[in-house]
Amino acid sequence: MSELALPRRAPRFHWLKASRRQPLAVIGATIALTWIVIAVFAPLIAPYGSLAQTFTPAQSPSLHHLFGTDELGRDVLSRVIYGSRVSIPIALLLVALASSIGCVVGAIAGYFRGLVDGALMRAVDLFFAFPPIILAMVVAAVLGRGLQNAALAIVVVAWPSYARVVRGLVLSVGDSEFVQSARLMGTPARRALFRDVLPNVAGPVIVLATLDLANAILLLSGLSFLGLGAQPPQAEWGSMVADGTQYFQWWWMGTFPGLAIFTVVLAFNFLGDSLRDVLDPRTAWRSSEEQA
Amino acid sequence: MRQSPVRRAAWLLPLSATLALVCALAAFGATTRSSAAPTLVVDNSFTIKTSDPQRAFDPSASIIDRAIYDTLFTYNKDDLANPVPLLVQSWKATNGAKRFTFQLKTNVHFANGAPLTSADVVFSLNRLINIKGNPAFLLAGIKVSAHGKYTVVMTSKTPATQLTAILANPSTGIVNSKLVKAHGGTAAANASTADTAEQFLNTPASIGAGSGPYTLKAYSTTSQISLAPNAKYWGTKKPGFGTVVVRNMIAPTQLINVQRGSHEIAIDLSADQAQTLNGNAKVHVSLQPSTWVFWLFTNNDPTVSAITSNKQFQTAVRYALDYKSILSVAGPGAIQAPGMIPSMFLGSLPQKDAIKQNVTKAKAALAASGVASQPVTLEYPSDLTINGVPFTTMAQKVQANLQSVGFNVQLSGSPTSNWLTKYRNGQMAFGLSLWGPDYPDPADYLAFTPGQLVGLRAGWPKGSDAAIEKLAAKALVTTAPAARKSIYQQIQLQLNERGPFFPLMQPTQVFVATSDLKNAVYNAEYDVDVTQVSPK
Repeated sequence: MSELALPRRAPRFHWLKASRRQPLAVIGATIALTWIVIAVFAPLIAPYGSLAQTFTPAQSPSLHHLFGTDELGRDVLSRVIYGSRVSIPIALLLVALASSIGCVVGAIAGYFRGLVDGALMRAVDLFFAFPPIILAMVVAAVLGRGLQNAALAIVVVAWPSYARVVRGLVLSVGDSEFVQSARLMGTPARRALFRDVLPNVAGPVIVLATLDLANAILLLSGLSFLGLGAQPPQAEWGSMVADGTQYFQWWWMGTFPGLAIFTVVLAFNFLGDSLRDVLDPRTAWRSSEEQA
Repeated sequence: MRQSPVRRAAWLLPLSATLALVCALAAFGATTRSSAAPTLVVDNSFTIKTSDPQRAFDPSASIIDRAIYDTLFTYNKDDLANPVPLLVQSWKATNGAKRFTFQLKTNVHFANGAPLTSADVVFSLNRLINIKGNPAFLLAGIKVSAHGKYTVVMTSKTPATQLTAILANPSTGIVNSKLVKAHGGTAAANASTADTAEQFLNTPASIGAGSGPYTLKAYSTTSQISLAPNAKYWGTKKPGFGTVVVRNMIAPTQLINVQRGSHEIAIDLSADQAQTLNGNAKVHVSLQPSTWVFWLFTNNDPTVSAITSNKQFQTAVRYALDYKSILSVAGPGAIQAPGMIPSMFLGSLPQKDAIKQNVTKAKAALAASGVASQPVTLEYPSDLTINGVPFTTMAQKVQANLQSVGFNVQLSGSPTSNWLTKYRNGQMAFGLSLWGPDYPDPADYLAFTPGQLVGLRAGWPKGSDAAIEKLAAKALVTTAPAARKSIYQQIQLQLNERGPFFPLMQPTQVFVATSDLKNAVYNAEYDVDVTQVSPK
């Protein structure tokens, strides 16, 4: 019976060719990969420990300490390197979690429609009613300070956008012939959702997730900056910038972790934008036209 | 059709007249502005819960309350050794410093014109005692009564040689009894529950509540507090500024503001930050030993923590700390605190008596405690910076010190108000704290003995240490300075030996004022007495 089903896969793309057309994607991917490598091999790359208070405090950048030392005599470069082990993995995990929750909720709402859709989307509207940073601050403040709670706060903030996007896509995919066919053939709802519907909405979700990586890192750093995320003495970029604000006269303390946030956020934004161009049939078509 | 030159120029006339009028008005406006009283801006890292003088007991509140509420005594500039009468015309101490008679000035009135009499003094001081707030201990054991419209008598069971210094504290500020009563205030024995005037006193509506040179104009414990001049001020020296603004600013912002501002004061800069102002003629920088003392405490109550109440654990903490490295977070000018009494007060310990790090002893004590590597949480106010030293930095330094010896210390920072609540309730197991003098006398530091204010917060009730309590009792009745010095030093040596407190350091007090200010000096009681500051 399966021969009745229409092709389920999205059109294939030539990644290398697409990358050539998308130099920003290459730049973004290079920076992001570099940071991921730094995070994985931090103990091997960092010249010193992130917590070792063994140097003269507040030394300006030099050959011994490329990013200088902080107010407690810790090497800022080492702390920036170790900081990547907090921000990047947590952001990846959070986005995976938020997108999973959002996809499931959105798919259920879009597939079943009616009352289920109404109830789930009103719940999503509730979350959208608050500015993300405020909602994240409220959740983090209620749960208490700490990285885990800050991470949870970001998931709470992030999943509704996936739910809304996926719901819209599922609504349109749900009207397609292959899904209708599957329904007519009596395929169980769960199977139809996961086998027929969700794979066809993966593209936009991947784009959203990539862009959301940047948002998650910014939110996590923001919460830590406000004292709600990572707690001292953990090396985390947001809390390092916050420390730097206590010592403006030692500019390097806040500048380098700030630059780390800047580069990684920029990289994921480049990557996300480029992925959108590649995966979105409309912009992909436009790109092909331009090439021709 | 061409216009004649005259007709063409005619329309320019009203335009020129309008421009001239605008210019004249602008010039007039500029003149008016320059002749108005300037604004004094005080940048301070806020620690304030209320401005109700009988409830307030925080540094930022002292700046505000000193300006709004007159006290019986005050200080001249930075001379804390000699309290001078403010509301008092004359006074005498009799019966071995157990009875004090104060004759009040008869020309004093509140900002609403009502005269200030002995009834207001009795009401205010009894309200302070009976509200039983944080500053209530200042007048513990003192009875206050009125003997005539302008005579106040205070009696104490024990000699109270420090009373005049206490009566300079802003918490003893005199409020308008009629007005405060009308807004829910009471000085009755049940004032701790019955008094509801705090909210009123925290609003500009309380304009007639004080007799000081300024009145409350705007109040926020998070952003800024503004004061307006008291138009009916009774004193000969009228308020020097049209507005006084006390702003909540972190130290780095204070550093930027004071360099570009005028009539501006920065209180919380660190010594390192002050060094960047060297050679700047726009500002005047003064460095002096701070009266603040940073210290750690371990709660002695086993029900709060079985770990921190362990005496061996306490000994291990005492000798594990690298006091010299702790000084590095405060920059030049900071000194190790040998005891709880700061170096400039009677009874302070010399540097030779300061505890020195002894890692061997610390490790042995830690092993003997049986605590092993059980985690213990060090709590600190994460948003507070004193003398340019952030508590967060200090806490990380202490943690690194202790971890290097084998402790397992976790850090937990919280907003100052949350931290204060837990600390004051005596529920904190291990804390990083600080103490500023309520009055410049060593008697203030008896609070660290068993059963007293801070002792109780560290789970150290009365009866915990008979020897220290006996010395504390003796200190209260001893009046000769030499004998007092000896007793207070003995108390501190014994506290250092077996108390739950660990004095860390006295940071450097940096005080920066723009050069266009007169009498802008640091005063350890009020931080800055804005009533004495005036534009040059």
